[in-house]
Amino acid sequence: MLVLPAVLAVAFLVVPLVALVAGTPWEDFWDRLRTEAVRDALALSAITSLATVGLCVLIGTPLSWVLARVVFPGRALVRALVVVPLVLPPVVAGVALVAALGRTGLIGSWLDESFGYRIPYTTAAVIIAHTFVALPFYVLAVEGVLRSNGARWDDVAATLGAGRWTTFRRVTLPLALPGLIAGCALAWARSLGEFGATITFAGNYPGTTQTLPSLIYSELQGDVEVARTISMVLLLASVLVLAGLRDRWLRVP
Amino acid sequence: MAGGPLDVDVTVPGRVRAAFSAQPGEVVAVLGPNGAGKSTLLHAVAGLHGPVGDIRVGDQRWDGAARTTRALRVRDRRIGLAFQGQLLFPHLSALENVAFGPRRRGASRAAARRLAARWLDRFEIGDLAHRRPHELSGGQAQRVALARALAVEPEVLLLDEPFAGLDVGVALGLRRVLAQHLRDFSGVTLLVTHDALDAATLADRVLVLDRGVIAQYGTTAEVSAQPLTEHVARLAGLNVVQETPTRFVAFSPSVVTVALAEPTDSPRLRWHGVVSTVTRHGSALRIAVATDEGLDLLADLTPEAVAELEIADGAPVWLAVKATAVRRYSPPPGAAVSPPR
Amino acid sequence: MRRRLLIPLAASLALASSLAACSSEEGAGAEAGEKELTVLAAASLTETFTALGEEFEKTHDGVDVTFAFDSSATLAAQAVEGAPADVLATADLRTMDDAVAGGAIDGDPQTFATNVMTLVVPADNPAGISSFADLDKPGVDYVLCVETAPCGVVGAALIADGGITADPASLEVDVKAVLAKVASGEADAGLVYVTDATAAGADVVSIEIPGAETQLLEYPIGVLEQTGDDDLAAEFIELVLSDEGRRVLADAGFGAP
Repeated sequence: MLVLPAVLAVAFLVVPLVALVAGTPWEDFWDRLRTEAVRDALALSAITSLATVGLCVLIGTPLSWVLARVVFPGRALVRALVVVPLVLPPVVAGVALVAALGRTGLIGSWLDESFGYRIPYTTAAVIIAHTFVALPFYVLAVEGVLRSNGARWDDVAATLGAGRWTTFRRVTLPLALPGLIAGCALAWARSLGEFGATITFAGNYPGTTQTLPSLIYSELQGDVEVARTISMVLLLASVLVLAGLRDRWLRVP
Repeated sequence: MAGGPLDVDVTVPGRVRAAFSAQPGEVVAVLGPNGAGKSTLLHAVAGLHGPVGDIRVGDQRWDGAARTTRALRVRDRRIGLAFQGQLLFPHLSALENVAFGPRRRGASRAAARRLAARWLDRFEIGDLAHRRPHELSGGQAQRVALARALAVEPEVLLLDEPFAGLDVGVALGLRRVLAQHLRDFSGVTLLVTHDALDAATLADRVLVLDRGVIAQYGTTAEVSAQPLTEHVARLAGLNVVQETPTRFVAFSPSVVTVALAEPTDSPRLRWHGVVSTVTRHGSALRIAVATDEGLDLLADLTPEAVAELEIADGAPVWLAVKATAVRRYSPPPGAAVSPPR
Repeated sequence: MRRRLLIPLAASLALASSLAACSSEEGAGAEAGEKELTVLAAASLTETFTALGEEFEKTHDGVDVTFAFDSSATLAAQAVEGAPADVLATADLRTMDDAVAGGAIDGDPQTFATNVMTLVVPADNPAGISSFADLDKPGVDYVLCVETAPCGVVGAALIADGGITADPASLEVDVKAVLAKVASGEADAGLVYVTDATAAGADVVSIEIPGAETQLLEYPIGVLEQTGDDDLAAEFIELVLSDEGRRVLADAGFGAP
């Protein structure tokens, strides 16, 4: 009774990917990747996704620690708010970012008037959009491992004379490393695939804001073969992330 | 590094309420059934439960009930806490685990490592210095944990069930090594255990916790001779009966006589009840009896006697003790006495 | 004001807008219709064709007209892949040619309207743009369609012809997105069709592009091979080509063929 729907579900998930692999124009795969537009988008995606991961580590790690360790009023609310972008349609994230940081946005207009600095149409805008959608993934992964490690190691370190910062650096962080790596991988994958928020907030211009997914979308109206080639690249990247996380997700308990 | 006597008067709401003092060099065994609050008491002294009342070591105030001064932070208290289950840092080697404390207390990296190596040698595991915790056996890990606790030269040593979960032979070896170090240690040691052997071989005094309060506190000899709780009486191998709120009777299971009919010669010390278990105890058989009054008493019988009386689980019996075979005593004034369970 | 800005912005999300259009049309049709006519039309025809569709339903009892508005290239590709529809109307001849070459069109497509591009700036014109050449002023963020879209090809040609050397800030996926960026003030200027500028009303101000008529856009319409009802499809095309159709298209800013 359950086998048929299960088989259907697997087919449903796998067939499109197989079709994508089959539909990839392999014979001139490399030639298509060498065009300027693709090279620009590849480089931009690489830079912005890595910058996103860096930003996530920088601000997401302290946030995860605070959420996992510090008891303060409204923690549940903060936690819920932080996770919202996770379930938010990316396009809505883009609209929200425009409302906040766009040229006419809440903070954006002030930035423009006070400093003459405009965020949209810059690579920074791409990184901001990516971080906005990727940070929750990172925070959840890191907070999870911090929580499961518990505060007991912190207690041990304290009895041995370690202060908070030393404890964080020497004990909490090394013990949370698997979660940190998983969080980075998730954030990277999310950033690499980000499209809706980016194109809505940052725009779409080769070399500055056109990432691989934006290029795919543009090329779908032009050269479908190029779109398929880049899609294949992103599929490979996704598989790579999954392989990196296999101990976490692919191990059957 | 003796800090002087330890004076404790602490309350962890809903968990433990305890006031006691101990002299430098003393080892206090903390006994009590599971859930009595033994680990909580240790953690409270360490400061892991925040400000909990009054804790002084010599003339140094770690925690003040008056709240005139802030409680000393955990990291500023000179404690060596060996946690239950060791809690060695899994990402550090044995040597690094032991060096962690001295390093935080200001020793240079090299000095801390030298010190750690010396402590591992003292615990006879110098050759395991570079192993990670998951590569150590339970006994070896416990030695590392004890070395880590001692390496910070604490004023108060807090040991939480150091022999729990170890094989008998391993525990024996570790007990011998630990005894050596405790003899040399000049501060106060609180040793949580559930083994009477630890109290007998390692401790000077015994503190009995029951449902979060101190049921008895005295020298090891006092407590084992005149137990005030059934838990300790059992650990000491005795029956204890509270005759009046202030009067206890203790007697060995070997002096209890068992009969099927009501005895006539001893009017007061006799109980009717039902056999709950029969177990082997040395060359004798030990029967546990649940009396009609709700006591649990033990009696040792020869196998022949058991066979003759046809004693089995659920059999109704009479227990009796000669008045000359029991010890009667009153708890010292001020002891928090709860009826033995 | 805020709400009116957000509506074109939301409309810029091609997928979302076409989905919304589909579902609302289908929702209305499920009750009344016996016959259904599905029209694939370029996004720039959204308003005019919706109006003509209502007109068509009025004169054809029991007929439901359903639209899928999207980029011409996407629609042409869908038509070739056999999307269940009756009529295809694109915003340029090239994409219609692709559909014809793909065997999706029954008979010859007919041109029913023309369109030219215009420069639009936000109502408050923050960059102070008064002519096409002002796009080259420093600090001006202008947006175009991406060059894979017909509006992008035309836009790029006009930029080149006009001697504009500054790069656009962004290449939007379709003309609605360009309009949304300008209308919401997120861009200083953009190139859209006259019809889009007309539809945006007071949100934007139009500035004529010199030589825009050299890049005249022709809108062809044709019956799809896979239609289930040739006559009904032909009647819809008749309506589009009729005086009534011309009037609706002209009101929206389209030129006559």
